Amino acid sequence: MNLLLYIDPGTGSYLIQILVGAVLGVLYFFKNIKLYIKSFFVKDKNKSNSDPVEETKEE
Amino acid sequence: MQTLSNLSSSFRDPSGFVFKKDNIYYRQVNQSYQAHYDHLMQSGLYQRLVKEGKILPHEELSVADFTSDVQAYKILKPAQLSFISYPYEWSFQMLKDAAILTLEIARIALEFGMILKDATPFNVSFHEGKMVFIDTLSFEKWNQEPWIAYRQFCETFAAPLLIAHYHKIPVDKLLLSWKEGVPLSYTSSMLPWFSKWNIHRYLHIFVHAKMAQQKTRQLNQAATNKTVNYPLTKMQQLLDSLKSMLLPLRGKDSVAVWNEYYEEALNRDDYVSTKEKLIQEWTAQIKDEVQIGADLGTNDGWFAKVMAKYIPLVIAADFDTNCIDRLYQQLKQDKTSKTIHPLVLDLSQPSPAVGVNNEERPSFLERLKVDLIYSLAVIHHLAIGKNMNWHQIANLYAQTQKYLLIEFVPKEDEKVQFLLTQKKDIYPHYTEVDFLAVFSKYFEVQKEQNIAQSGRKLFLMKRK
Repeated sequence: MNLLLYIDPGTGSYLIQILVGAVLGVLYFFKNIKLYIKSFFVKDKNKSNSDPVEETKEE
Repeated sequence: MQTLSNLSSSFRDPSGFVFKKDNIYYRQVNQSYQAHYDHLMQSGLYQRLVKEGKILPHEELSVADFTSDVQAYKILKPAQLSFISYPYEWSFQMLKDAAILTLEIARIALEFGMILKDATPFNVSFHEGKMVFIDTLSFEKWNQEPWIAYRQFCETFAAPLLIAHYHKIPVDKLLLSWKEGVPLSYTSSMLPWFSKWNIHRYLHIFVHAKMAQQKTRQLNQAATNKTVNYPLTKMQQLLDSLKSMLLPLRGKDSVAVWNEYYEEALNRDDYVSTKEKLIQEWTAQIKDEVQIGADLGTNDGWFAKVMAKYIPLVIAADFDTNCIDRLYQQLKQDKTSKTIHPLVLDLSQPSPAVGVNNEERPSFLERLKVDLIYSLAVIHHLAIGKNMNWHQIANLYAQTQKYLLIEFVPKEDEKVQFLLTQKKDIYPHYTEVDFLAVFSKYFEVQKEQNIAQSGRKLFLMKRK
């Protein structure tokens, strides 16, 4: 995995962001599902405000 | 007309620079930044950030009035900062708020098709009671690429905050050593093993550090210039993940050095009330001559608040980062006291001049242009705690352009005796007579009075 990645020491760390982006994509995907299911049971929850980010807590 | 010369701290960014004319700070925006600047102003992003109080507002002035430089596109006059402090003079919460502010601004900028091209605490300043973003030229049109400032953000904000969170050490010391951020390889080696057990920290610090290693760099040289498409959702998730990593972090909240000081001091007869009354009275008498004051050794800011009743701007400094942290949080909540500027500072070793040619960021004493200094129950710490002699101490306070309000604590005082239980008494000159003999070379004593029965004495002195 490492071999495919490149980090420019001076600037942006681009390729790690691709990796991080992929992992976070999966993470937030499941968080969304969790929220969606939750919203079935907790009816008075504000659906429009179902931003998965707000739900992210420290593990 | 000539071209303008930039401030020594404003040279990195070719988009423009800050300059000073007649004691007012301006910013020149260069032609090369025109497209980005216009987008910032016309897309509504600038207006939104100003409305939310996140960015320092500015007004545009006529270029022709300032320069004939063909590079110049705009001249901006930003709202003037009353005092400039640097991240290595901040407390934990100040740095954390600056970090969250930076992320929030980047997140909002995305909605307008822009991103921050750099992310360092130096782009943020404490202004009127809160942290405010000051670098107008940091905004850049976003081309769906990864975040150019990602690594910088991790090293300058996340790394010191995480190290301070786990080890409960002051962030100011870390930032003074690593002004351009703590390298991630150092950071990951300093953090405890269990800190990995959080997906955000694991990715942004540990994996990030691993991938920045030399061998990976060389093997992947080819990938340097490839255009990478990074969709909006991913970028938002990246910023949100960084925020989730930082939000739970806490600085040291155990008993601070001075925590119980006033509680105890209040019990000592009418010491504090008499002292406060005297200070109020004397400050009120000189207030017309004072624009800026400093309470050096402010503890939790009690007397800085007294000073702020009379003086338009008050710098409140103490070496105890926890005191400053608490003061900062109080000021943030109390919308009325926007005139106090909290600062972490050790008087026996004030912040040095740092950066390129030592000119980039001036030392604390160079920035300390004040008309009044309070030195309340501090000199025994300098003279006995730090072995400074009277001349050195008088020199420090002679930074005031006009007044010094100083409390003399005699050797018999229980606090001085306590200091002396831990070291040999090599201070035969620690007497009021010697103190006055030296200080009278720099100052003229205008008033003096005993503080109740405490044995301590308050002096109002004027610079000679």
